[in-house]
Amino acid sequence: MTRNLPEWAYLVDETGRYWHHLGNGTRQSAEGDKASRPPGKSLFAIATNDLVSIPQWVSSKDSSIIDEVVEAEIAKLGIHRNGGPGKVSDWKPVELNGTRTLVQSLATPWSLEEFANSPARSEFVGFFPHYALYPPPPSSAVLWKEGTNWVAGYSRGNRWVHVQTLGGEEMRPLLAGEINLTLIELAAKGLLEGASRLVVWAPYDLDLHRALQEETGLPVTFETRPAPAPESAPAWNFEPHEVTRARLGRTRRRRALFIGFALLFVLALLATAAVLHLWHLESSNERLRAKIEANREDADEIESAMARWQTFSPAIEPRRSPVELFHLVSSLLPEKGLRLTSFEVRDDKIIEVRAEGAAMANAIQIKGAFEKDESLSDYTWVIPPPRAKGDFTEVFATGTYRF
Amino acid sequence: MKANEKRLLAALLGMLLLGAAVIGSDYYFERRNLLLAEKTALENEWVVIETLFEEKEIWEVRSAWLAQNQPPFTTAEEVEQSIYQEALAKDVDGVSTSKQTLLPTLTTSDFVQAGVALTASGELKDVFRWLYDLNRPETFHVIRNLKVAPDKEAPEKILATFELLRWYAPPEA
Repeated sequence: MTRNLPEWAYLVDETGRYWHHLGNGTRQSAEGDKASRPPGKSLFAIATNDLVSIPQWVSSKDSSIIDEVVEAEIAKLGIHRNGGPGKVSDWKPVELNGTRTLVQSLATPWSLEEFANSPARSEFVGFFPHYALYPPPPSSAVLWKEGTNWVAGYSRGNRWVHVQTLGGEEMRPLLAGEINLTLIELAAKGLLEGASRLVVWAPYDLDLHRALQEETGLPVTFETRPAPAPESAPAWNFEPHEVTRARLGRTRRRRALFIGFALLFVLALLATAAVLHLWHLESSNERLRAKIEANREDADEIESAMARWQTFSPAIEPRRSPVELFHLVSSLLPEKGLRLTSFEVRDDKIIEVRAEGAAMANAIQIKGAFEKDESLSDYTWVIPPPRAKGDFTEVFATGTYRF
Repeated sequence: MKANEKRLLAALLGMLLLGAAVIGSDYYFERRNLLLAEKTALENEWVVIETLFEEKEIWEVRSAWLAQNQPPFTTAEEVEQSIYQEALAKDVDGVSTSKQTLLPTLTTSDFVQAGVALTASGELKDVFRWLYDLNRPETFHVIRNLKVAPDKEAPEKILATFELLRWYAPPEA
C-alpha cells in the first residue's frame, strides 16, 4: 500500500532540528522565528528521547493477542495509554519464528514538547519515530546523535529491533559499555542474533572508535547517515492526543455545521412548502369564490323562484291544502267502528281531529295510523290517551306542521 | 472569538431559529385552518349552487307557470265582488252557503289577497267536490282555517266553515 507522505520532514541530527524535503533532499534550517514554521505539510520525526522501545518475543501470531501483550508490557512500565484519544504506542513485527513473533513496541510516554512548542502545529500531518525513517545496516549496532543526545539502535536482519537514548555528551566515555551491555542483554533474550558490526553515523572520532571496538569486540565503521526513506519504513502509526483531539473537534464542528445547515435547509424546505400550501389554498379559494360569484345571480334567481313557489304552496300545492288533508285523515280512519266528529285546519299549520269510536281499540288504531303515514310525515302528532264519553271512546289528535 | 462565545452565539442563533420556527408554524397552522374552513364553506356554497342548477329548468318552468297563470289584480271592488260571488256557490248542486263575510284585502310583494269567510252545508261528497273544484292550482284559490263537523240538525250533512281566499298578481309598479 502506498502511503501518502507529506513533502517535508522535521528531522533531527547532531546539529539539532531541521527541515528536510523528502522529494529532493533539500535541507532547510529550523532556527529563527520564521524558520521554525514548517515550509509546508510536514512529517514530524519523533526524537528517540521521546520514545520507549520494548523488543520482545510473543508466543503468538495473532495480532490481537500481540496487541494485548504489548499493552500489558507498556502498562508495566507505568505509561498511561488512555490519557487521551491519540495513538501513543504501536508495535511492528520484526521476525516470525514458528508460533512466536518478535515484535518491537514503541510508546511515547509523555507529550511531545517540541511539537507542543511548534508555532504551526497544524502543518504536521504525520508522526513517525525518527530512527525508523532510516534503513538500518543489517545485523548491526548503530550509534548516532540526535541533537545533544547519543542514540543507539540495533538491527536484526534488515529491521530495527531496538533503540535507546544513551544520554548527552557526558555519557561519551560510557557509550561503549552501555552498547555492549545492551548487546549482551538482547542476545541473552534471543532478540539479537549477535551483531556483526557497529556503525557510527557521525564524523570519525579515533577515541570513540577505539573505545567501541575494545569494549564490544566488533568491527567499528564510521559512515554518513543515509537519506531518510519513509516510504520503505514500516508503517508506524502515532498521533499525539492534542492532534487527535483537534481532528475529532474539527470533525465534530464539521458535523455540527452540516447538521446545522441540514436543519436550516429542512426548515427552509418546510417554510417553502408551508408558503406554497397557503398560496395554493388561497388561490383555489379565490378561484372557487370567483366561480360562485359568476353564478350567484342565476342561483339567486332560482332561489327566488323557489321562495315564491313556497309562498304560493297553499294555493298551488295540493298536499298542504286543507281539503287534501281532510281526505288523507279520513282515509286513515277505520271503515267501521269510528266516526269523525270534527276536523279543523288552522293557519295552514295545525290539524285537529276529533272522533268517536265504539271500542277503545278503534281509538288506539288512529294513533299508529297518523304517526306512521308517509303523507302526514310533515306533521308532528300529539294524541292524548282516548277517553270515555258515554257509550263511546273519544279520540283527540293534534298535528303540527314541522317546517 | 472564544470557543464559549461561539457556543453562546450558536445557542442564541438556535433559540432565534427555534422561536422563528414556532411563530412561523403557529402562523401557518392558524392561516391554514382559516383557509380550510373558508374552503369548506365555499365548497358547501358551490354544492348548493350546483344543486340549484340541477333543478334550474324545473324552477324556470314553475316561475313561468306562476307568471302565466296567476290572475291579475284589477280593482279592489272587482276582486272582492268576484270572490264574494264564488262564495255564494249559486251554481253548485247540493251545496248551500251562509254567513259570508268579506275579509280585508291583503297586499304582499307576491300577491293581493281577497277573501271571504263562509259556512258551506251539504252532503260530504257535494261540499268536498265543490272545495276540490275551488282549490285547483290554476285558480290560485286558498282554503284556510277549514273546520268540518256533522250538521247536528241534519246528520247526513256536514257543515264546513272556512276562509276562501284568492291570490291575485300585484299590479305592476
